[in-house]
Amino acid sequence: MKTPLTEAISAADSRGAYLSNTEMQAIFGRFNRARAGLEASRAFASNGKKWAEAAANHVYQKFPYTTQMQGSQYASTPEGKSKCVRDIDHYLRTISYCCVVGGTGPLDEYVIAGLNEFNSALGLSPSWYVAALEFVRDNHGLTGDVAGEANIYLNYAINALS
Amino acid sequence: MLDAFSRVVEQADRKGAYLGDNELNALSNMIAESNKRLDVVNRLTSNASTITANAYRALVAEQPNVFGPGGPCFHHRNQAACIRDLGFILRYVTYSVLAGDASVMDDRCLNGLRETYQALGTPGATVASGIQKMKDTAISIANNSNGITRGDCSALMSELAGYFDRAAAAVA
Repeated sequence: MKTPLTEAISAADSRGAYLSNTEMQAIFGRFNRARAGLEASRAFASNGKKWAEAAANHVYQKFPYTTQMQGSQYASTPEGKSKCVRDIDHYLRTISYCCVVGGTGPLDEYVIAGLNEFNSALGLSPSWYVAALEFVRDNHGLTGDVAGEANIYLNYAINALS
Repeated sequence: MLDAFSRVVEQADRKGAYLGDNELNALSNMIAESNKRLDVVNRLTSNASTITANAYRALVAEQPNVFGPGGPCFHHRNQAACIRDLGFILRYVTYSVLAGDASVMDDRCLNGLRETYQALGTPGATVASGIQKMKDTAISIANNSNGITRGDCSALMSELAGYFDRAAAAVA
């Protein structure tokens, strides 16, 4: 899985060498920033469900057809709404993992691989999830380095969906 | 390849759960102690040739039959390969210490190593003994507290010993 630690090790291993000073410096920087990432993850753990529900409501308002159209990919029924919240929460949980490892590995492996095929097979529009993640990014209320860590991966997911 | 962080993440993902307080506190503790970890990696890297050469010398003294005439590790060609392999294992140990997880060593070094040695006629028990000798030297170098601020490195040292033991067990 792609993280700052595994990337440094892969770089050294591809040369068949011990870790170089460059790699050690990179890791030193990673450990310095890691605390903010853990705090961000803690915020996702305590607020993720709430944020997912608020984001889903925002999507229903931004795209009213999502609650009016009939069909299992839409949120016209309670079941559809709960699936929508579940899927947004899945994004947020994976983003919280990225904050922990300090890299995009979890999003790459658990979410983005196969994402387009998945969405088109089920008739889901990426723009719903973009709206949801943008809503979380703009309303999570985190500040400073903690917000910085969270926003890196929220934006990464948004760009991957766009 | 996983590190200490992605290992926890992978386990949480299997449950579909956010990370709990216990997991976050453990990782937080690892971050707080990270300078020690980087110092250990640096010391092992800086003393790599000492560690491997000393282990090799002690190994030859301990098992002259293996390295002498008629033995499986006779002649420079084989002896150089032995030193090289000790260096490989030490290198993957340093990677594992940095990552805080043995998966890089398992995936890229130990997987299939026993079978390779069996095919080549290399005595695994001798390699394992060499790894144990590297462990002793590595710990004495990494745990040398002269000239630095004294702290408790016992957890890190037992982690380091664990990676050597894992490598030894994989070929013994």
